[in-house]
Amino acid sequence: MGMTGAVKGAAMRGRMGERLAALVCVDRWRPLLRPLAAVAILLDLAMIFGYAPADRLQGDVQRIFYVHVPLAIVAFFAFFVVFVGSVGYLFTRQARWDVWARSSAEVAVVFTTFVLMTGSLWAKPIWGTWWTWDARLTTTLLLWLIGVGYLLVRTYSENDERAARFAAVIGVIAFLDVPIIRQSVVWWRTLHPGPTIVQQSGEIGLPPAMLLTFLVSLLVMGIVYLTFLFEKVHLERQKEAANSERRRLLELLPGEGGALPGEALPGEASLYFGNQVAAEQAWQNVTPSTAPTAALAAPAVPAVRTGTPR
Amino acid sequence: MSTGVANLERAPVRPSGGLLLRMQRSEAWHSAGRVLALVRKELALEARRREFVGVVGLFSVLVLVVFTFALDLASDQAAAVAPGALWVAFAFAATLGFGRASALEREWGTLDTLLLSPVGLGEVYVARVLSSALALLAVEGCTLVAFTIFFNLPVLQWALLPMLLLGTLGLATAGTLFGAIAASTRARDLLLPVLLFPVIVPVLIACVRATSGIIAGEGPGIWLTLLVAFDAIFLMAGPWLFGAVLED
Repeated sequence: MGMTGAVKGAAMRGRMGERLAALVCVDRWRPLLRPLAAVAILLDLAMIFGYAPADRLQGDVQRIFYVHVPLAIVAFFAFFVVFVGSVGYLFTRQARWDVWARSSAEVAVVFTTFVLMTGSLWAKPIWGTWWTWDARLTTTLLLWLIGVGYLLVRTYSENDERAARFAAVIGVIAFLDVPIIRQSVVWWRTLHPGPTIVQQSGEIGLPPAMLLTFLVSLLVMGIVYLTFLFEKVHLERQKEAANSERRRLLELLPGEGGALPGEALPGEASLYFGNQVAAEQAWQNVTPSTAPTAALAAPAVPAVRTGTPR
Repeated sequence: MSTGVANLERAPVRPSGGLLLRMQRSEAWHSAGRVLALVRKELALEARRREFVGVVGLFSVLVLVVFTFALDLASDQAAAVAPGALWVAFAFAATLGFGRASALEREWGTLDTLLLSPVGLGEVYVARVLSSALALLAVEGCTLVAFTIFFNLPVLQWALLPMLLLGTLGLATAGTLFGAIAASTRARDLLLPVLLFPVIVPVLIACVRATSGIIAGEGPGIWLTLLVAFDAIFLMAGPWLFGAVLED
């Protein structure tokens, strides 16, 4: 039933996976990122409050801009990572794509929440209103709503495999739809002007000190994003490893026999999550009394994946 | 009432007759034939039950009434705001209808029958989109008549038709996809509006603006382009995504 294909596929994935894994090796960067992020944040705060000059027109409130805009840029990038992970999962049905998608989605929604909050904090003193329905804010709000929908679907799905599939579909749709949403909102605002057309303070033509602070802030936000992302990916991988071990142990029990639907295959888990040794030990720890009954009762091939409730 | 298995025996999905199908044996014609058969099945069900068009149509008109009180549309300023009320009514009607339809499909197990038959899931998607769009159009027809009577606005023009068709198709494509997702979760109907409304915003904006333009006599303008883009994206990506949703 496609065993040779699976073996060949696994080998190819192994080579590509090795190269990719070496580049984005979460376990290598993760211990480095946390202290780095802490230092970077402190440095950035020092620059924002110490180095960057106060804006002539807006005063000190303008400094939120150094947090708000990099957050927005990184949040959009995070949603792009969600899209890539979703497409990858829908094509390959491998858990590791979904791990990246759901980790980035969580961070993306949190960052977008902060974008909206810092934007409102800045808008109230400058524009006199907490919110305005201009194109950019409306699109960001809709993106936030779609991201929350993504997380809700994961929460309310009946099992992990469905959650991954449905969320991947939403991830793909969100990315495809956002340009259309943005264009429609732009036309909505410009072709039928609302009561107030707001001018944002120009971002082009920043004096060098402000530009440097902005770029440093952007870099720092990127580091913070990667920190959260890698921590979350690490947690999710541990969850996947725990689930696959649980499934392996369930297979040993007489009568259960079914695989947890849609989890990573045993080969996958050990290749990428590095707990091959632990899995072997768990297998060898089976006592002689349970082993024969397990071999008799468990089906030779994992049964049709029914929706076993978690 | 017929179960899923009985349906398969009584109404074969692959049409057996048909001169056109015998002339052209290519896969595309067979596929279209299957889609049409599925659409016929859904419409036949709807004609027998009269649940969607009847109750949802009434609900849609009621939303218009509620909006009249909420936004004071009884005044002369109605023309500016009334199209918005109209399309909110359609959006709510779509939410009700798609949630219900997906729930019923799960209840009756027609989905399992379809998965066993030679129909591809992409074809199921297109068929559902078409039949939902047709049912929604029926609802919209009733609502538009009520709208013309309530607000005395010249909305029933031929220029309305392209925008109405494209907008309804947009609602149907997104609604079918998200309805299938929502019906498979624990939250069922509750999740559908949460998923649907942010995605459907371009359709709402375009349709409200186009309706305003048509009432004012200017025509829909560039909003049709937006609707075409939206429908194109969903009709291209939809079948594949729908297949991914309904795999099990």
